[in-house]
Amino acid sequence: MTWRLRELLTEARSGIGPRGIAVGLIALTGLAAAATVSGMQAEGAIRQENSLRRDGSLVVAVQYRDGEDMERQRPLKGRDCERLNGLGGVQAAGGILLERPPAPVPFPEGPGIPALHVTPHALTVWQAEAPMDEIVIGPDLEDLGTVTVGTALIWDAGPAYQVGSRADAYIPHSGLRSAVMIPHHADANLSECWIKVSPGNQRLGLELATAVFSQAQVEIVPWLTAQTQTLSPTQQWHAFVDWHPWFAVAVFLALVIFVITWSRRSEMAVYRAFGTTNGELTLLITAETAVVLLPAALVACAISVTVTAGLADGTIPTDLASVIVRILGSTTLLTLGLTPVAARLAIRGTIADQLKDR
Amino acid sequence: MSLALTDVWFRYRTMQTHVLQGVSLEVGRGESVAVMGPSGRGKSTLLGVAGLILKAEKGEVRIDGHVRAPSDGPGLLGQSVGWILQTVSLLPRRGVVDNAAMPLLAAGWSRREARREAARRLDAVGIDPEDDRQARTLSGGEAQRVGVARALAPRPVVLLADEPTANLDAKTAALVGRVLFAAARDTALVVATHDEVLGAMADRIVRLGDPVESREQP
Ligand SMILES: Nc1ncnc2c1ncn2[C@@H]1O[C@H](COP(=O)(O)OP(=O)(O)OP(=O)(O)O)[C@@H](O)[C@H]1O
Ligand SMILES: [Mg+2]
Repeated sequence: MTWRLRELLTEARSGIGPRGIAVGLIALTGLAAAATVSGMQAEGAIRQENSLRRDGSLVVAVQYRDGEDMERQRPLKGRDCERLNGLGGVQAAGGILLERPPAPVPFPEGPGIPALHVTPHALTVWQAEAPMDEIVIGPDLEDLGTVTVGTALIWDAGPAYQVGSRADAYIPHSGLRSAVMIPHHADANLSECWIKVSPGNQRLGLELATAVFSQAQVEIVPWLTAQTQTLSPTQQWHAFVDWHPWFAVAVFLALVIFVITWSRRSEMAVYRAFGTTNGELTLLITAETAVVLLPAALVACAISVTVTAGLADGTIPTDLASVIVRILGSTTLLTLGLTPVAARLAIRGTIADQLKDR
Repeated sequence: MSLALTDVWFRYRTMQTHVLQGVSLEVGRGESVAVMGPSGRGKSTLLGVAGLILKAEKGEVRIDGHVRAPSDGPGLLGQSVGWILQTVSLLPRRGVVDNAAMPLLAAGWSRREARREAARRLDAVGIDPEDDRQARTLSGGEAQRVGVARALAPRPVVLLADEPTANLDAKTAALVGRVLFAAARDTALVVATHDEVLGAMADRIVRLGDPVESREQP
């Protein structure tokens, strides 16, 4: 004695009038705004994180301090630094030689140098992230006269690299990527050891540095202090709230659905007066909402991806697109979850009263 | 007896006095009753109680021999008890066939069957189902005839019509009245109306008088 589900859903589809279209347009606007704002925030956050990493937020620096009034301290051991390579969570480790290194093995007979970035006073060499065959040498290495721009470096039977350019000054630590070799001075003393960890392992970097260099008079510092560690609880809460405009949009849309359903109370009462239960009416309204909300979400997705990409130099990274899709998914689901509640509240009351409401 | 009210008392929660004070009414199958009386005397209220959308404070409502209350729910509402309402209450943007088919859909019919039955009902009240016009484009008289077709589609035991001709001119009112009384041959029909012409079409007239405040409360 109740509606067949199929017929109820057909009824929902046929029942969409100008009010339904209004809900769709409001939803489209709200969803597009929420997704675009969130997309732009995410874009900013991703860009900031990338630039923090480029600036060395994943690098822990262990520095030897040669104090004037202190008795002579033991410098950092190059081998201690080097053996950190290959540990889980460590992307690369290497450092700066305390004293100017002797001439390297003459090239090309000797073993090549498996690295790209060379810092002043260092024979530690780093493999850059990209491009693989681009080699940068430091001025001190070039001063030795054996390696210069254009020379090929061969490491064992490994790949050959061509020195592409010359670094004028200090190379950013973010260039650190893979294993580091100190070809001639594994035991050489370092003035500084750098540990570059993979994302999420900042603590590990600090702990490793402390454990390995506990014997030396050293200073262990993150290259950059992560900003999140310095936020007050209030600031963190604000940051959290800023991240959730979609939540507000879902609640707002539920309110719109409530108001629209309220304005259709007499229509709803007609359904009730001819045998439709409150539960079926709620389902009917939810289905109507879904019919306009889902296309609105799809269009909002297209709009916010386009707008965000337009603001971010025309391209949109996949992780950013997935942020937008997830925001829209959450908003749509939350709205659909709130719709039965809003609908139920709006059709509350006796049929007799509602039949008069017009 | 299709519809039997026995000593029904009803009071709106916001009111001091009872609108219905011990009303009794019996209507058999194929019989029609016009409920008449001045405005505000409780005609709509009486229909509301009989139609299970208002709960009697005291007294019994029997439909088809069974004692019924609003808590018996939508299984009866619009099905055993059909409604024709004063203000046009069609779904404005839907076609007349879908409008007339709605109570059948709510009773679990498939749309095809429901529309076929609704079309037959519309034919009987003089509305062309082939046209299937949107309800909002109908005249008042046409809309009210669609209302009659809709109420009768589930073959209700009782048909309640609350001022079905109030918004119509005399000629249209007479037409709708004739259609209503003809179509309702198989049910117990109760019509609340101010329209003497409509009232005269009924088998009986029940007049609701002034409420008497001094009467004993239940
Ligand atoms: N929901 C309500 N709450 C409180 N009082 C109500 C309500 N509905 C109706 N009344 C009152 O109950 C009385 C009877 O109302 P009812 O609608 O039954 O009258 P009626 O005979 O149908 O009048 P009319 O001919 O104008 O339609 C009136 O005094 C009215 O003011
Ligand atoms: Mg009335």
